[in-house]
Amino acid sequence: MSTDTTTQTCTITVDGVPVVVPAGALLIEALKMQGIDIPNFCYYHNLPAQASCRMCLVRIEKMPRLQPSCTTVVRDGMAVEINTPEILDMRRGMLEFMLANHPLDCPVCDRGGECELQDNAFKFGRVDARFTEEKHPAPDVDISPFIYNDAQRCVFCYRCIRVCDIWMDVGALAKLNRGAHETIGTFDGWLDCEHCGNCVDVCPTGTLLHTSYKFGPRPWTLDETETTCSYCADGCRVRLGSRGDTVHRSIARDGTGINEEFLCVKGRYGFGYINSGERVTQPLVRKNGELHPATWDDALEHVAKRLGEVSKAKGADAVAVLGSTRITNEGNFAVAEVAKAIGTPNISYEPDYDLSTFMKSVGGRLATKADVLSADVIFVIGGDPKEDQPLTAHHLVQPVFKGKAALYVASSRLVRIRKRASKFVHLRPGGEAALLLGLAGGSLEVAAKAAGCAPSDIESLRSSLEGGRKVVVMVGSDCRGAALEAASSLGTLLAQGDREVTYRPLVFDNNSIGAFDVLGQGVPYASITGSLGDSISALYAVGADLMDGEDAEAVRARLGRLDFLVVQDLFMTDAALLAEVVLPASTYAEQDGTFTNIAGEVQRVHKAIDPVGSTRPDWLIASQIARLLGAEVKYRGSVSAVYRSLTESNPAYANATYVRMMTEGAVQTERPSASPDRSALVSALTSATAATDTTARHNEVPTEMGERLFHLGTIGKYSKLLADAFEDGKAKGRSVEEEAALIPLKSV
Amino acid sequence: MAEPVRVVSKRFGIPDSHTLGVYLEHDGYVALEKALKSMQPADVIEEVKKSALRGRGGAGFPTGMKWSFVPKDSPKPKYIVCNADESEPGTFKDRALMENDPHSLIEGCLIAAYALGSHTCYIYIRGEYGWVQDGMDAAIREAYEKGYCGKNILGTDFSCDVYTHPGAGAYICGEETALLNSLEGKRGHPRIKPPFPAVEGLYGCPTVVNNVETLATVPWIVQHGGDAFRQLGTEKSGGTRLVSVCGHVNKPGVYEIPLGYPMKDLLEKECGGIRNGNKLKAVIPGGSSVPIITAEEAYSVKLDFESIGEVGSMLGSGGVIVMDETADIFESTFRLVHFYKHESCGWCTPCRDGSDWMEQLFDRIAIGGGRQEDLALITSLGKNIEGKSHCALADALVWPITSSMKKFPEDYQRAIERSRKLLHEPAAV
Amino acid sequence: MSILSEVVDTVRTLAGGLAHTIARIPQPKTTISYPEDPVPLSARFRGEHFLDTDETGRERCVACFLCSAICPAEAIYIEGADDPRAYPDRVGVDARFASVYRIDYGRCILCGFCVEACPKDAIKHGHDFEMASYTREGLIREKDALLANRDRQRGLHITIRT
Repeated sequence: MSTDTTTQTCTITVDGVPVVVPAGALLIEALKMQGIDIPNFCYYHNLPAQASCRMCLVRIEKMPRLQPSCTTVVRDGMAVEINTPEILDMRRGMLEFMLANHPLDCPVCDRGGECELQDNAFKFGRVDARFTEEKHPAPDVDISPFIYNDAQRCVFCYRCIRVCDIWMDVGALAKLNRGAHETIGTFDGWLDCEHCGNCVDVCPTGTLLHTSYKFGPRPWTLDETETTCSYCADGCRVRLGSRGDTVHRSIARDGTGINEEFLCVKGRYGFGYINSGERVTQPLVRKNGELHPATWDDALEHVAKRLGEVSKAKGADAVAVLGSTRITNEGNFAVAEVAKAIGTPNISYEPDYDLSTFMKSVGGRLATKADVLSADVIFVIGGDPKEDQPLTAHHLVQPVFKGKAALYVASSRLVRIRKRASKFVHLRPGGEAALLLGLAGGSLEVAAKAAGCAPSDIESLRSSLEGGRKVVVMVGSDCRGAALEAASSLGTLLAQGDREVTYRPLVFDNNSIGAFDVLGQGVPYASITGSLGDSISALYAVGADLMDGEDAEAVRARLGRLDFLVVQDLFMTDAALLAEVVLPASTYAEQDGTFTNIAGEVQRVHKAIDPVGSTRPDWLIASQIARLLGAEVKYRGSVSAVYRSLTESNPAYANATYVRMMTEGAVQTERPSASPDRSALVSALTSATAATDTTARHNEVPTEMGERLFHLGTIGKYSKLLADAFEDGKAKGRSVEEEAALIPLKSV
Repeated sequence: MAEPVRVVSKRFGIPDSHTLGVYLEHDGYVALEKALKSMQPADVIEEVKKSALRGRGGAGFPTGMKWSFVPKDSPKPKYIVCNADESEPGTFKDRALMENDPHSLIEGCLIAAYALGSHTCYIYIRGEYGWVQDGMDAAIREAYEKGYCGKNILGTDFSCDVYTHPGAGAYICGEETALLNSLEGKRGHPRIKPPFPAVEGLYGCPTVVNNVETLATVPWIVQHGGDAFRQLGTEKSGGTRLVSVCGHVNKPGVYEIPLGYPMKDLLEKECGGIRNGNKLKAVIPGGSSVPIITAEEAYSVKLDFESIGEVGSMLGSGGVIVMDETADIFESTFRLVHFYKHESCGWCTPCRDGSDWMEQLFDRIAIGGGRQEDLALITSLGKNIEGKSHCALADALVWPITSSMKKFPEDYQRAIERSRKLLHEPAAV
Repeated sequence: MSILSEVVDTVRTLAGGLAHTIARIPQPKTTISYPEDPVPLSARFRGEHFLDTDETGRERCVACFLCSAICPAEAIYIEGADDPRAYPDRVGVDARFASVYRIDYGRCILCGFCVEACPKDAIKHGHDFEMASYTREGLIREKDALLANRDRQRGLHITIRT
């Protein structure tokens, strides 16, 4: 037997058969690697051990009692029995106890068919039921607009409580009462939390359930499609469950993506817009002042004809094309082809973050999940991932919880992530440049005065950052101009040292980085919107929310002055109401493609359902228009061909092929290396610091949970469940009286 | 037998024995002074090891060995926690000790703290013992005033604080790790062991959790030497201990006996025999959690850890529950099952659901509707619970049931027959 | 073999056959003049399904999907829905009920697995087997028709073979 610890393996005997397992592993994990599944409920691979369900007990030689395999660490020479009559009896007995008070309502339970209790009871349980006493009935209650709780089904594995505490750092769930009357519940009957629903997904039984999936189709009737979430820039892998042409749920239970099992409230419950009744389902063309349904051929020919007319009459420059941070890379690429076919330089998109400044000094790659999890210093400046990028926030608190990394936060807002920070520097609005100047070695007094913090704050922050070996800098959108450029080259500003610094821009939209990569920054968005109706007479807007800003009325007037407006969108937006032609686009669930996430990783979007109505994917519509405009379009009807053209024209994407994405999931793009000029940065910071308004008062209003997380974008607004819950910015539910009236007489 | 030496109960019965003045008159804080001024911490541990003192809370773990598990070189603070959460049915010795002689507990805590390099002691007192906590607090106040607690005790550079903390009325918090959770302000759940409290206890720091009586014995050991204590008892079970006798005896109460003392003598000499001259039926020798023994076994057994183990029971927490021939063992066991069901913390499956099921079975047999198969079911459930739970509470539920079913099957049989009649003649209830 | 013995053999077998025929003439007839007369069916005959209700008239079906899961012909389509009303106002026995319950008799092989699988005794076989239709649509039964089937089939002239 091997006792060599350098090989990091050891040999254990399982039912008399020797197996080699990694040293120091938990027994249950070591056996799982061998393909031996020990039944369990409370064990969960990335939660602390619990040992409360007692299902995973095994007999270990020389131990007087059966031992839980979820807390036992393998030792060399350990002899384990997992399939003896004793163990099988124990499992039967344990399941009998769990089922004693469990209601026999599998036929109406939403978890039926994917329930761990059901599976284990089938595999290991007794055939007959010896329990003839009374059960303790507990009614099912809604505890949030998204989650309902059927307390009687609980087996008390406490996964939900641990997930809420450790993954989410919220702690909204707890045990109530004691012993046989114990239930999982909340502190005042209502969940005061981020409504992420992760507690529901880890539940091994039907105790916590999604209201969105309440009494929906059984899991085995669903077609499940792995795709990438369409909400924030984190790019979580979601699994859409669809039946026919309807998406019924969005989960991440198999944990294959960068997010493993994690999803946030929007990713999990915000799929309602896909099958919203308010979708535009057929092309509309304005005739006699009113929009009328038209065939695709007519609509596309009309668009091509009118765009051609305007460009012929007023020059190609009079036509503008807008892409989007929401649509796929392929969509944006095809939209760019339209601009090329017309010959106009006026192509842009509405940016949610000043990526062109950020990317100026960031070369190579952006900080990935692996970088964040292995970092020893994490610095968040001017952003709040807890509200805007939930997965990033989840990742960055994990090493902090484990004591492996220190978190430093500097912001002008009292952001929620500060609660886990070793140090929080509260800046005055616009004080980021001054802080960075201080970090770069500028005069501490000057910097501190402009930044609105104590000089010692800056000094200790600098020494903490310089002490890191693996530093991740997350740059929020509060950093602008010189501050943004400096923050994204913090590594050169700090004192020389042996450290690896990676950066992550805290962008918002699901494909912000992809739009930047594909559409570039030819013409600034503001200059296009500013000349609509003046030098620009025709606009082809794809997924662009033109009237979401404060200047909506001005934009409306400008759009009214256009000769020709064609809007390609999912819903009848304010701009679409003014358009001459409205082209109905498909959502991400109805098409193939790719999104590029916050870390510059390209991930596949897979088609889950057939296009709703007669909608078409953006890339297909745009490429058809380009062809009608006379461009030579090589790809016809194949999204992979579009993507291949994209990779040929953009070297950063050359390695990120569909094949690699299929095997690796997320494939990171490599950018050309950059060498920021330190002295130029410092002088820019100095002038920005001098320009800081030192009379500006600190923002003392703490960020509330959900303040931005629950903010509804265009697609969120059309997801009924989200919109109903968050229309006033907060989750709200039924009143106590309403609830009492609904308590059903439960069959026990 | 010569007049037995009284170690922990020697001040019982002295007027105002709970005050510092009376305590000082009777060897009070002599041992502390001896330990602080003339002994090294390691010597104290060695003396306790020599005494063969075993924990008086129930499990009977050798105290000296427990103390030696505490890592000496740990940079973390170390804690002494006194387990005064005396909740075991039939056990009330710690209450008598804290009422009559609180300073001996304080002195014991301080010596333990000195021996282990700790500067903080917590005394976790059962929630229902409100007045006991008041008495302890008064004694601690006195000790602080006279310089026996706090900074620079007795002019040495040893400093130690002593605090009391009330429980919230949960039996499970007598389990040491649940107690630590409760002390930290968390829910009283037993923790996963290992790590044991000696390595990672209160707030993740090395912690020694000892029973009240164990700590109160320490001053005597330090004063008179470990060997002297050991000679009071048997080879493996050193010294004397308190037993609280309750039930059908003429003089129930707390008695100090040397280990190895015959149970027969305890019942007949100290306690004045069984009440009304009745015949003895059964004895639970160590608090409600231990297996029951019959009258014959009780008359032959000696009160030490080994010989009581031979009859299949344990000395436990020293709560001797005596039942005469009028007692119905089924009813008394039902009462215990109800207690354990009520006190199950709900953490692990066999205890939470098993105790509930068990209680419902007993309940059905008691009120009518019991079946012959129920007895086999009770045995089978007992097997599924015992040894599979997270802590010992579930075992404590099963042992009284299995032992009483084995030793008094006729009582169970009678219960089943009565139950059948009740079902058919409900008016007879 | 002579010609004579051949004749004798022929006559004997002919006579034997005719004797059998003649013997059957006075016995009761087995031919049924269907469709004028009803076909006697066994009690366990698996005819067109019906959805049952409980004694209070509530639908027993809770849309658990087990019938459609077991169906070898994939003939059953169900959609579950929530009836948030209190028990007295509900259509079904539980808050979960089938908003759509559809059997395609173009696919159904009347194997009875669905009846076996049903945990609520909600779907049962009737005795009606006259389901022929000139259209495919005519072979599809929606929930209302299946619910009405129990009483409709009671009205049919069906004799149960004893």
